[in-house]
Amino acid sequence: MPSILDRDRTVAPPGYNRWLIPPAALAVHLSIGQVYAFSVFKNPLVDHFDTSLTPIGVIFSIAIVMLGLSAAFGGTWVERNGPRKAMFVSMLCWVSGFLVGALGIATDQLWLVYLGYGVIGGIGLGIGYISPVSTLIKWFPDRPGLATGLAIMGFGGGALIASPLSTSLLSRYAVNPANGLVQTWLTLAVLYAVVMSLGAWVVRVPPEGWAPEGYVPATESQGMRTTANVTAASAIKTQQFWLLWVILFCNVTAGIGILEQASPMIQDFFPDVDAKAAAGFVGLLSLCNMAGRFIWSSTSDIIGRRPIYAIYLGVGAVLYLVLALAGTSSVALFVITAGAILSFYGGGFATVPAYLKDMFGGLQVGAIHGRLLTAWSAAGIAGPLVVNRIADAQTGAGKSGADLYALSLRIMVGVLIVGFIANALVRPVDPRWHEPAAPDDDPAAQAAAAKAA
Amino acid sequence: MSNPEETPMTKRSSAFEPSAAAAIALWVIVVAGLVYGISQTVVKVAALFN
Repeated sequence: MPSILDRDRTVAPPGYNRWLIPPAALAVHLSIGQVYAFSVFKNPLVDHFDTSLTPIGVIFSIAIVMLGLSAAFGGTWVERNGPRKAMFVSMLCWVSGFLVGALGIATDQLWLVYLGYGVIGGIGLGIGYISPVSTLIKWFPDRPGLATGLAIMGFGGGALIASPLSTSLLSRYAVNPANGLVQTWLTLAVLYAVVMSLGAWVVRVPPEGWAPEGYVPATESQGMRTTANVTAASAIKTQQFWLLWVILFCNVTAGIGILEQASPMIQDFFPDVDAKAAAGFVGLLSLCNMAGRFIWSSTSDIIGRRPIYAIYLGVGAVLYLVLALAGTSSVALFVITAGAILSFYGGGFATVPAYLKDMFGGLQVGAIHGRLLTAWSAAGIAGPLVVNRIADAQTGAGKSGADLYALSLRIMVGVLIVGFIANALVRPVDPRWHEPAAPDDDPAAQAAAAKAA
Repeated sequence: MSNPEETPMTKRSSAFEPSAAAAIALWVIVVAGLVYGISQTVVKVAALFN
């Protein structure tokens, strides 16, 4: 039965302004970006369930693992069904996650919170994250880095909104935040249902053969940018996909190592920094993470994807070395260096869809991106594990302060160098993986095909 | 005479066309959200430099 959610019901009429598309993507990413503000609920949940931090931390871990898995396995479905249906399904899962989670809190059933926020909400995260990517790339073939940077910036910005909003709601509903959890989660569910539904309603795909005015698509591959297309099934068999997987893994591992430990780290480096100032440092890193997504990804449209990743990884390695060798010399140096590292972390996330488009074409870039996000799940485990385990071991060895991080910072330098080498090894995809030159939904390819015909 | 650019597909989608105002309203919502989040964060960041 035809539905208004179907891809062919979302085709934009001629003359549709492409700048009406980014708010749809931002609406979804700003909503699901709430997951990075989950820590706001940690202590109230510990109080409510009368448990320790570890079982509560599992909720977030399940959500992130489900994000990677659903993006990997749902990517092809998203490509086939279009952005509106994907955004709608994402909204249903994300909102249901809050509702089921709230039921779990209300009935003191922690497993229901795992199922709701973790599993069901996590599926919403994965589907929502990839839902606007290929659509934006098709609307902005001339500036794919800017377009995906704008959307993925929303994922970083979601926590900036959700964190103060959730704190405010918790204190508004109850004196003890643990007693305001259910109402807060229900309120967030309603808010996200409205905003994400608006995004799904507004989103449009470009008509077949559409290209922005004045845009002349390349008719043959130029350097790293191909005009051919590779399917998701073929892409994962190429060396390039796995090199990009390693690049994303290394970049995320290094960034998340600081992000996850930011507050205790600055207090260990500088004993004069109190908890309030440390919270300011965490906020500053969030801003750098968000800004880097837009600024660096847009810059990649000008200087190219491989050079920008050489900066993320090469300069990032140097900055980590500065932290390791001179991080204790001044708070300003520490803050500026960590801020730059986090901007590269965000930039790495936002630029990768455009890198994939360059390498594999626009045909199934969303599905390929989904598969690549398994690197994020793996890095989400590896990064904190390295930093926390080493810090624990150093504490056991009687060390303290900045010495707790000396080894892990050097390990991160090595991780980034591995990523830098992987980036240097990236070459154009072998033509044997290219799809036959049949019409597809990539405007550049279609325009080229039309011209050739 | 029918518009050669108007295919059945675009005709059908036109029936569900949201006004540009809806998309502009969404722009306003997301920008307002970002301004709220950034301003709240900047207040926290200020504590780092005090």
